[in-house]
Amino acid sequence: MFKRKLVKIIPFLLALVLLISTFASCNENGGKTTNPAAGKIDTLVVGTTMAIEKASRSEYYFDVLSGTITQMALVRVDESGAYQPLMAEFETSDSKTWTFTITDGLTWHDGTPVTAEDVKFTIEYLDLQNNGGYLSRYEDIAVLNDRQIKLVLKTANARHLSNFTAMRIIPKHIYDGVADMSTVAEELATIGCGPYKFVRFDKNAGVIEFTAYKDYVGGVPNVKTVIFKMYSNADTMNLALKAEEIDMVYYYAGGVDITAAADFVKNGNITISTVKDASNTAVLVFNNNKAPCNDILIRKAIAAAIDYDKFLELFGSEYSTPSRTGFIPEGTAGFIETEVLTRNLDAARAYLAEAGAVDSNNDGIVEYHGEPLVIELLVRSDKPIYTRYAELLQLNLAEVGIKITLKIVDVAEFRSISEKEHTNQMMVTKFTAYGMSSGAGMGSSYMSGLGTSSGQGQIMDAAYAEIVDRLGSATSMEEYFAAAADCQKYYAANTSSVALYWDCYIQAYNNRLSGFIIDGTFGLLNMPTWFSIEEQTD
Amino acid sequence: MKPTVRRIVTSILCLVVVIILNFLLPRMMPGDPVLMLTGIDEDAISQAQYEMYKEKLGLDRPLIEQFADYISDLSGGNLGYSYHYKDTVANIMAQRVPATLQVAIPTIIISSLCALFLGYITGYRKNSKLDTLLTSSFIVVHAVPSFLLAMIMVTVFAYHLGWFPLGGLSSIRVPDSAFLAFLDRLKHLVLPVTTLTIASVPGKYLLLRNITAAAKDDKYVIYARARGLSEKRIIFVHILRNTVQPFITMVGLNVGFIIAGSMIIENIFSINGMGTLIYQATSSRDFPTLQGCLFITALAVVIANIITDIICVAIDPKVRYGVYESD
Amino acid sequence: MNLIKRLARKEYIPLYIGMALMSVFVAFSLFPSLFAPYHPKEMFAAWQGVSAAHLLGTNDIGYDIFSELVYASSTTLIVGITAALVSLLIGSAIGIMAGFLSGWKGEILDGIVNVFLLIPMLPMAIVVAAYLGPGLNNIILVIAVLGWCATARAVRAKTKQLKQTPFVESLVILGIPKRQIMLKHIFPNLTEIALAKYIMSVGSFMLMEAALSFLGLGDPTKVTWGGMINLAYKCGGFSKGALNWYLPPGICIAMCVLAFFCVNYYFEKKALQVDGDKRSYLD
Repeated sequence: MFKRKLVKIIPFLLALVLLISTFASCNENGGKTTNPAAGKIDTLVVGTTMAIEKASRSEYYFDVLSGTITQMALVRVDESGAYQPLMAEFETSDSKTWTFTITDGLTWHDGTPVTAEDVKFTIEYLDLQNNGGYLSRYEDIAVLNDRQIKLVLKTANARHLSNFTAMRIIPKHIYDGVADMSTVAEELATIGCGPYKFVRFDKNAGVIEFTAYKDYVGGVPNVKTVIFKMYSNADTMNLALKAEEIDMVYYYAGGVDITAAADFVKNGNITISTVKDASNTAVLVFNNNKAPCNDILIRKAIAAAIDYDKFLELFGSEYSTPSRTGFIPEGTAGFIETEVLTRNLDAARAYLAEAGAVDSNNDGIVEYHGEPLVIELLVRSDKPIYTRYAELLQLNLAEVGIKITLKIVDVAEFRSISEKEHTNQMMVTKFTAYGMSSGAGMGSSYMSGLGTSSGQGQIMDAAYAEIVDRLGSATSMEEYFAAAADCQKYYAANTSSVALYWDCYIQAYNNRLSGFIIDGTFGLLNMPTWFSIEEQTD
Repeated sequence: MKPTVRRIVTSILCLVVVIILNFLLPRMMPGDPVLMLTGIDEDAISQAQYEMYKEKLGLDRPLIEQFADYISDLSGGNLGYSYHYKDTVANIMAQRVPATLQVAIPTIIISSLCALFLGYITGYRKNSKLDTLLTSSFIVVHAVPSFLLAMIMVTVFAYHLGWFPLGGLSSIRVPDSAFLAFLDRLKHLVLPVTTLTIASVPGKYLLLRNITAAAKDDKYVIYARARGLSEKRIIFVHILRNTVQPFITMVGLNVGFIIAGSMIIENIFSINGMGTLIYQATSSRDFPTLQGCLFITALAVVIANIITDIICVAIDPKVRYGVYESD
Repeated sequence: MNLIKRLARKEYIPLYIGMALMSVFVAFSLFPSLFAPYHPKEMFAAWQGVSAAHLLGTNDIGYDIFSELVYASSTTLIVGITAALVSLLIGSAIGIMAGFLSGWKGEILDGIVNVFLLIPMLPMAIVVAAYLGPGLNNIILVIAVLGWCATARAVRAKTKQLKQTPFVESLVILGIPKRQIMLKHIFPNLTEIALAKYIMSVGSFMLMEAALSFLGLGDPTKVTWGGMINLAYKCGGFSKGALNWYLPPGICIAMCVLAFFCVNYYFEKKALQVDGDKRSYLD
């Protein structure tokens, strides 16, 4: 009897299966059609893992993303670290007074011209919104005419333009009088002055669409429509790139995993390119103000015991380079060549002996001031790779008799400990390019223990403070580079912290694409790229 | 106390406990919520900014004051404001909840019906070949972690076979017509719903099978047979009526399970739902969002339970008179 | 002969399957070095495929996957067994009191069980795990603290049932102290149901550990099966389609959980025969 019932149900089940397979077969063609005009691209689909909640300037990742396409900053920094005009030409004679001239004919996407008032408003408004202290840098801000503005700094700063590569100018006619910038409606908040204007943000589909702005003063870009597709994990995104569902992947200040990159090379239809990285991919940061890492000999012993070749082999790519004692990565403007870090166990043991740390009871761990030398290493848990680094360090240091215990915590606790409490002895993390160049530059905001900075390195040395002062008040790039060289020599002499290896950002895009221009802030996607990017048609 | 009243009191108590835990647990976590307002890759927060946000978040005030504020906000229906997302918690959740529901509701319906259908057949014919086959295979499926199932689904059906999209809830370009857009959404839902359904059927199936098997031998079935009623009538009227009540209770309890399940698979299928939100809010120490999410989740579970109780009372007079109170 | 026939009876099959699977994993956990060809932290070339030297290949930093798998069994089993033990203690203590005590004490305990049954477990587990921080002991604690109510519910139901039996009623009439009745007279009658619940908990807690590890809340220094899948997912194993990395730990979890389910299935059947009770504890 039940058999008969089952037989009756089978057709329904079949129908269900058929229905499901129809959904499966009506596969959309990726939303990608090639324009017959060679080189021009109709739609470019970019995958990203940046989590965007809302199309608003107050949203960090939307703000970053729009900086590549629709919202412009005054200047940009090119691959070599030199500043180039973007919205405005700039000039200065003494690094103290800066004059910006906005490109003639530049308009907001609602047709209103971009004026010098907008620039002044932006500095004042962002100061108010973020309590960021932007205004306190200036002695005077003077609007000379519709298109010109003069900024007078309190103290000369040769690197002042670095503040303007990421500060996207805000339209005064929209934000004037708005107390909280996150309350501006989407269609107004997304108005920019770049070559593309915002079309839609579809939260469910995880899609943000931009289309070429026909009245852009710089001409018509090569891609008509640009779509950003958000993924919550990189793996699914990589699969989508391989399946040609998307044309390229984009990370702000980041790149594809090395392992994924190796896989892309095998795939054959994906191009891998690299962007020089001024970030410190993997660093062992000493708390220079806490025992035992306040002892230079202990720091030197640790640095000599690390197996740098193994780090390169396991975590680096073919594009990675060995790190140097100067700590500042090669991609940084002002980099000088210091000694390459290598493993030398005998030297490490000698340093330990000099510090009075010897294994007197033969338990495999050296004694330092009468106690076994056990150091706690703080590790962040957001990416498994940090634990991998930590385990290798643990293995390396055990060989010279230093016992490392791991304290693995999530990012929130990691930041509390390393940025506020400074109770850790040492830590492994990554220092971003932005962070390395912020403040006075040369990693000073990470390493200095003085002032209001979060300063994970906790260097309290007066000699170091003097170098940081010189970095911050340099009136010319020559002066800045001289101080930068001294800074790297200081790091090298004191082993203030250890860079484990240096890497570059690996970017991946479909073979059909070419003609990318690399930007020092945004990497592959930036305003000039939209005018040079090309697509090969078969 | 009448059992229904007692259940409702328990539910309210549960909400009170959740509210207190909601408030206390995040604040006992190590890690500074103010620091987490900026990304780890961004500018360090200045002292002035730090103080400003600390005040805005209310973290400079004593715990008891913060709690009083939270309670008074909550009783006014205000879930709070998240400085992390720069939006009200209600707005953030309004964007996330539909995504989770679109996966959860079909899953609850399909898996319950499957379990009811299969469990009923095998329960009635316990120890038959079909029963042995289905029961043992469901026990095996029950032992497979749902995230592994999801990973296999994506690898096989989305990547290798290309039948379904890799993730998300809509295509990059959603078709214009409402019908095609609906089909597009449906296509995106197939894999996550199937995964969760496969993961949640076994538990329900086993329960139903055992209930049916037990009911089959009950006295009233024997009496019904003795009265000469047709087997069909016994199966579809007498036994079914007695399995419906535990079935509905089970569906109600299942709401919590489905929410938990979707938390794990949302990440794999790139769905921006409640699960990802709770996870993000926890790692960024976004107290208001976290409190809001946990509260609404608990509320959903409690309401589901109250509704099932009411339905059970409506269909089964024995519940009304507290016959089952012993359990 | 008779004995062999008896032992070969059909009802023993699940027990045998369960025991066989379990003994494999117990052997793995007790003597990992016998089965694993390498130490789990020994490094080889990364991303090797399946070969004779590396039965399941190597992972992103060159650990032998099969060796990791073997060494992971003890941690996974320890988490399951210990967490289930803790939850058994909490669950049966609260369950027996909630079932036996009357008046406000009983009501309160009853309420606690009901409240915990309603609290959505995984979201809470995420928060509690983040609060306690990573570490094997903390994971065990999280799982046990949030997972005892299923045991408590079963024990409570059984206690209520026993309370109404004539032998307990007569003990009450005789004026025997409540504590003595609970410990000496009711408790021995609960062992079967507690054991069944315990075995079930071990299985489901191992799944729970896997889920928490997968969400990145496990102990990153200890290798567990769930942790291996998490690493495979986050370190490119998933997008590279390295099935040899993430499938075996998944199969191990499933097998191990299955082993406990099977053993439980047997005990439950036996209990049903004795009891005449038809409700299954598998729900």
